[in-house]
Amino acid sequence: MSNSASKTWLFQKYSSIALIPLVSYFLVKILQLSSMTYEQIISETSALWFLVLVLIFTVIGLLHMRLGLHEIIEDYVHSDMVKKLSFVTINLFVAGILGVVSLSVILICIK
Amino acid sequence: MVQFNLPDNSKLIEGEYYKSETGSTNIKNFRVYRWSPDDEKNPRVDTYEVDMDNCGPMVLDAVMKIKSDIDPSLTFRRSCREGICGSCAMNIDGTNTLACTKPIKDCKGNVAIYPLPHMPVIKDLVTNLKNLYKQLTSIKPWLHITEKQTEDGIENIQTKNDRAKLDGLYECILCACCSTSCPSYWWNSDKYLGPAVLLQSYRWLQDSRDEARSERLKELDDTFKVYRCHTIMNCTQACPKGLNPAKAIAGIKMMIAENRT
Repeated sequence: MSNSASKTWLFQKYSSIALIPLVSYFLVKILQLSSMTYEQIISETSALWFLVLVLIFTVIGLLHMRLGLHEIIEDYVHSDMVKKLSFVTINLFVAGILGVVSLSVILICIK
Repeated sequence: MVQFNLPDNSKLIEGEYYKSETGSTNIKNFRVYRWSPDDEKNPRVDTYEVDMDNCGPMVLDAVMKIKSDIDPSLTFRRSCREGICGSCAMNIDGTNTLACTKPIKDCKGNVAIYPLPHMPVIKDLVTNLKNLYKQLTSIKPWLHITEKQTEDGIENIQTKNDRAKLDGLYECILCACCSTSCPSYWWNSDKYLGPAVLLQSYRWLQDSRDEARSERLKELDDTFKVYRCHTIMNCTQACPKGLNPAKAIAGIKMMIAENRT
């Protein structure tokens, strides 16, 4: 555990920097999409580069969130049992969302 | 888990009111935390009326006046009365600071005086800082040099620039105001080193003559020792010497990251 502390810290810094443009892009994109017709939205969101961006955003965003939640648990939860349980729950949650998003992207690609 | 309520025997109650017998019209109330290990009573807040016409300018002057003129049972630490020993660190008016360098006139209304937060209280305003001293020992706060460097008998010199790197670090008097103001230290003081000790650590990491930099950094690369710091910066705000422990911790994090490669 001990040698991964600075790695964790570095990843948190880098991922937060990467999330600034990604989040701004998706915010603008969602606003744009809201004023489009159904057909336009379908063609916009099924472009390959858009799907790649969605995947990158999901992966970085989820890992960043996972680290942040871990930090909070480390701070406040002192019982080993509860701590381990929380970590498992967070990991399952992250894996679940990642699975759903990847599956959707694959489905869109196949179509 | 985090405790949301104090145990019944720790709940703070209203204590005695000591009316001034001087007949002075220039009175200020000092509300002071009291607890004694010798009886089973709850901690209480006593109120002392102090005649400001016959009192020194600093909070420590008032506290000493209370002890000598009003209530000799009041217990606190003090020594140098000029901000260099760090003994009289306490929570005054909601902020950790040194009673000897805190002017009474900076406190509007009543002056609330409590021991340093989240530390075990020994009596009244005296807290147990054993854990902090143990943590200080753990970072080996002294110059690490090989025998070869010392045996030639030549002075171990450093450049003016290298010496300047220690400014803002060596002035720390270890009063513990910063560490005891840090929420991360409150929750995890058993494992997180806290701002005071980390500032000391950085002082040795920055010393050009020290040869143990890499080992020191490896030692610090730990989820708890350093990385419980979430740049809350209470430490910097509290420091009565105007130092910046938060910046020192940021410096340590950078050094650890650079040391890895």
